[in-house]
Amino acid sequence: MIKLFSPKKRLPVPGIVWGIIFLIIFFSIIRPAKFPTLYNALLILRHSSVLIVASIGMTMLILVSQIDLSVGSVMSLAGVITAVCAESGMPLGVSLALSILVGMLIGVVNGTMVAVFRFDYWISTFATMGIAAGLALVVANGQTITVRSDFFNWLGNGKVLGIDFLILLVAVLVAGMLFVLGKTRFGYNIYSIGGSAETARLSGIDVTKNRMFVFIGSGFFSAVAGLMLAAMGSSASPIAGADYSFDAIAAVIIGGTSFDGGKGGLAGTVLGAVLLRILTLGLNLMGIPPTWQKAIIGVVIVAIIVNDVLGERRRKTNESRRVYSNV
Amino acid sequence: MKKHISIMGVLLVMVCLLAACGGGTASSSAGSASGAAASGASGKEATLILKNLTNPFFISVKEGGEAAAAKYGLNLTVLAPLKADNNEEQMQMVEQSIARQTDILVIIPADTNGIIPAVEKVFEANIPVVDLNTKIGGDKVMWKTFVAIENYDGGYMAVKKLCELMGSEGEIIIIEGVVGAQTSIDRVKGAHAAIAEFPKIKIVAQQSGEYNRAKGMDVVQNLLQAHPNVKAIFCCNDEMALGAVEAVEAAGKRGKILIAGIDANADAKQAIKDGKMTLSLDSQPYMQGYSAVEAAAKILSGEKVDERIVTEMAVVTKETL
Repeated sequence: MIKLFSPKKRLPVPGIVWGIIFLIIFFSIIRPAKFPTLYNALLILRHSSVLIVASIGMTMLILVSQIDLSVGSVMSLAGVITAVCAESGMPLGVSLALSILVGMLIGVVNGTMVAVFRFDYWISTFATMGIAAGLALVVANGQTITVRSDFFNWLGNGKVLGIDFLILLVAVLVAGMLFVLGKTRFGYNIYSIGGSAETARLSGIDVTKNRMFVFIGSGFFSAVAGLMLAAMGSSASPIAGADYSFDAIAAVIIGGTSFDGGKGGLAGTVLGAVLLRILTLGLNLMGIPPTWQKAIIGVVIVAIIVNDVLGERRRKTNESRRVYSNV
Repeated sequence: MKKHISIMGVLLVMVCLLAACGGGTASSSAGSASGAAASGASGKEATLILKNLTNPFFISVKEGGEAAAAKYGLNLTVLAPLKADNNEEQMQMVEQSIARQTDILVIIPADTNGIIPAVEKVFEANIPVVDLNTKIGGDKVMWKTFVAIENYDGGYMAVKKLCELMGSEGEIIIIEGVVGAQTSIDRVKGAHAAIAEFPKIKIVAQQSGEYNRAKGMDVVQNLLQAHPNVKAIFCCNDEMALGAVEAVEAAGKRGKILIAGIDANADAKQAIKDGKMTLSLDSQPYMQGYSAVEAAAKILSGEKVDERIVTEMAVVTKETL
């Protein structure tokens, strides 16, 4: 169980697992006929999928103590590029590839500024956020662009053996990244750099190169997330991804990855995204007004973060106690 | 599990919160059902999905909808995206309405095209849809009725009146709503049609204020510097018009520039009374919400409703208030 949820054995199960179990039981009791259904389980995963993919890059970044504010605008940009290209007659595959390339290119720009030239990541990615958001509006001419492609619509709404294609896609992406973070040299390097960039450098890890890869990865996953979002609506809006950077940061943090770097992992992030969607589905099923929902979601996020912080402190105290009693 | 007692504690607080609001809504709907006139729709579940609940316009729609629901004994659930005008959240709510086993869905789409695939699923699940205020795009008619003002007519009515008040000549600025929003596109088209009837009136600038007061103020402030001789400003909603009022005051041009908006919300009416704003257009959001939910109730009780229900508008000036 513990090993499954984080690459570092010593980390406890993130508090979020308990949060999710609690919420599922709670909503099942309140709405027994409507909440605990297979349809809803799939709906929650389907609605989590875009957020999960957008948060993959953010997880890697926060693991190395960086942030990418451009995630949301890259999502919008990727969506509209595909829509405009596909509508102008370019093959869909080429359009999709082009969008992903543009996303990675913005990752390269971010990486060059932050990893190579050591500019502040807030300002650098804030700037690229503006650039991508502006470009998205220019490319789309400020309008939502409908994609008249059955295949594109299928990507967002189609099912394979009764399961949404989006869910399967996310499962593959997440499984791949869990492997990369947990079992490869690159993953190991990310945790080392997050723990202490200086120590990592002294032990021969190329910090600049690895951070660069992380930013390119963030651009890649942002673009994929943007394309998924566009496919769900069969259309691309230049403001579709607007606030996604912050949603992704929220999913990562409530998933137990710490801003200190080096602590946490992708599994927690996935659960973080799922928890947010369980909450919205449950609250909507209960008919709670949106004004209340904001406050309630805030309270739940705080509860989970507080629990994680307290758990971490307790663990540290216990450990030191053990050390002294052994002496 | 001792260390997880804290999270359970905080979540318990949340439960109490939820129970409080959940209980509140349940009792109110029961109360309204008992006082309702007997109809075939009584006791059925209806869902109303709005664009947001931060704009007074949609709060009026909600109130109108609730009044109609009370009259016909419908259990109405009102939902809106947490991020205002967010298409993704609306898609999710539409798909969730199948899970909610709602009997009818009333929706104001935030994105006319982006919402299509989600509405298609509801359509295939045989849940009737009432399209309110903004048209759902696409070629397939998936709604039972479309309840709305004509935004084109609205833009035309407001701007025609404005042009007359301008003395049929001078420079005018148009402030659009959210770029790409269908309501804004139609209102602007109507405005252009009205201005075309006045050859001496010239549009010197047209920019987006994103249907937002602060943004509207910024945009107008910048435009006033570039075009000091402007005689009138038409904004595609009142929130932006109120932003324009502030920008005009800041420039010390109060009373010299005519400002028109659409919606006639409470703040705008006050501004018109105070002489800060010239006119607005009452698209009667309360009546829109009421008509849509009324239509929903009729559909549920098997009555026939028109495919298009046009709700009335009225020009609001200092004289009519």
